[in-house]
Amino acid sequence: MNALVKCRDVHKSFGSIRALAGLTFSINNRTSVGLVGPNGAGKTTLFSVISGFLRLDSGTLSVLGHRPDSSHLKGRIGILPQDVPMLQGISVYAQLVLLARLQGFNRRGADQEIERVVALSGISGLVRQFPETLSFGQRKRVILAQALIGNPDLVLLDEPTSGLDPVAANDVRALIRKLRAEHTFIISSHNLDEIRNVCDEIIIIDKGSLVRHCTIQELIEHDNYLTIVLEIAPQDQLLQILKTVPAIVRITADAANPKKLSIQFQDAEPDQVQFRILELLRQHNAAVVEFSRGSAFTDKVVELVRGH
Amino acid sequence: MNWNRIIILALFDLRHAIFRLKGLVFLIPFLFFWYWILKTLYEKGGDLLVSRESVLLLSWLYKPAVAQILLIAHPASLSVFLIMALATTPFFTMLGSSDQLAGDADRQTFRFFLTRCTRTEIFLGRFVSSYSLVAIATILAATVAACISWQIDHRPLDVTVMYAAQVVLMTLLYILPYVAYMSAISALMSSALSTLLMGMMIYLSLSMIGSYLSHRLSLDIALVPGGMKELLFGIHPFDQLYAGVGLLAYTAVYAALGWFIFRRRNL
Repeated sequence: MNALVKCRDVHKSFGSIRALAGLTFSINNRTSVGLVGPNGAGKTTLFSVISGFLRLDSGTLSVLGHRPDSSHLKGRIGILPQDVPMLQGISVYAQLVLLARLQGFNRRGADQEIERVVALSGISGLVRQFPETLSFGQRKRVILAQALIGNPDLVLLDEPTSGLDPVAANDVRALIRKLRAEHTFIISSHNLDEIRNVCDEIIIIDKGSLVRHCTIQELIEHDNYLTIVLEIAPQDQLLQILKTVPAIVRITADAANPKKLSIQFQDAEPDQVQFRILELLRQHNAAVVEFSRGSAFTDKVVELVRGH
Repeated sequence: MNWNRIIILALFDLRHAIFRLKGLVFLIPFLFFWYWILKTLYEKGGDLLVSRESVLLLSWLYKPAVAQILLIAHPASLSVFLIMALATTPFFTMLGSSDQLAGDADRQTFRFFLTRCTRTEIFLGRFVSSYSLVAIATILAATVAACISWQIDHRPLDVTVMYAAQVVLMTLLYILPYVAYMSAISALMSSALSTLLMGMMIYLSLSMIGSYLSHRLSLDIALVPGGMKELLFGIHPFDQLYAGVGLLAYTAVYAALGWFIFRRRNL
């Protein structure tokens, strides 16, 4: 497979702040990659250097075989930047026409292309409005639509579902899944479930350095993890009882959803451990809403970031 | 460099500037000013402009030979338009071209363009649209001035039209370096207002330094394009040619500086 993005020892600083500190990785064609890291890790800066918004201090970066500021890349990268406003006082449609025309479409072709991306992004009711009259989520979907104009080879999405209602967020995820075969996506998101669901690979960065670049599957432990969602958040007493099961190594309650428990265990007969845990939950009247084997993905990512 | 993209950017910007603050901040004072000047010219111009008193008055500002050429040899009303246009060009051009790059660079709106065109194309697109806005408004004002001149100066139509064309050409040439100057300031700043204030401050400072150095060294030192103004009126055969070359040189220097800053700027 051809490397679409090749990043080697890339450095970028803003004064004394080192946003990217020797980042090295490569991304293959037609791969969806999740870019993950804590706030200030350098994710947005990385997007900005790939798109040519920012200049590198040192290192080499090639996108589709060209330097990020090369004229050969124009129209081949689509980006959904984070919190960037569209021009005020100009209709969404006029702005989309401008962007399509800058990508080489003639007036008629631009209209057809806009019709296509508007239908894809589900924003047909919004195009005649002005950006300042749209909600945050609506604006985000409009900006997503502009990123898809002209079928770019590489699509960079910075927090594509943050601020969207659950239905719209699901639509966006479904759209990404649908388009995965045609484009290479790099998606920056704090929503690890989203990364897991729509990406093939994950790049974890922290303080501008690479922590891990691997496939999503590599971070999912299938055998020794259980994910349990209870009807109500468990009390400490129940957690202590569960910890008495000899095979259990660790129990972690999800910070965002206290009803969700991740249990890591080590036993030659995982089924028996599963039965034992379910039995204990039944004895203590803890109703189970979801019970699944594996998926310690979130834990693993958090562990990698913390351990860095 | 793709000229098609430059034209698309320039036309889009120009079309929308007319209805947005960046255009109105120039157009409203420009129209009020020229309405008042041209109305006064129409009502009180005519024979008064070609009187000895008027020539004497203008001789305080320019060389007597220049005053003679402007008010006697050429249609006087158009000459008054030219003098006023050149005198107000720095101010109006700064107003009209203050929001070339700064605002959108700071708001990061250029990020939507940068994946589709080069920085050079964006820079030139904005330069062309800013220049076109000021140029179109100036051509309209000059057309009205030409009509008034034909009415009150009583010169043959072909003389009036020829001189009007010359006046327009000189004014358009004189506007160029100021747009380029503002593009350099705009590439550096983060808002239209700060660009305008910084542009005016640097321009005044350069004018005063140039004037001081000229006085001290007894040399014609023009740090700003204003020094070319008198040459544009052309009392000697090659004056206008020198002025044209000089103004284009100023434009090239300012635009190159602006492009250099914009090329390196984080967007």
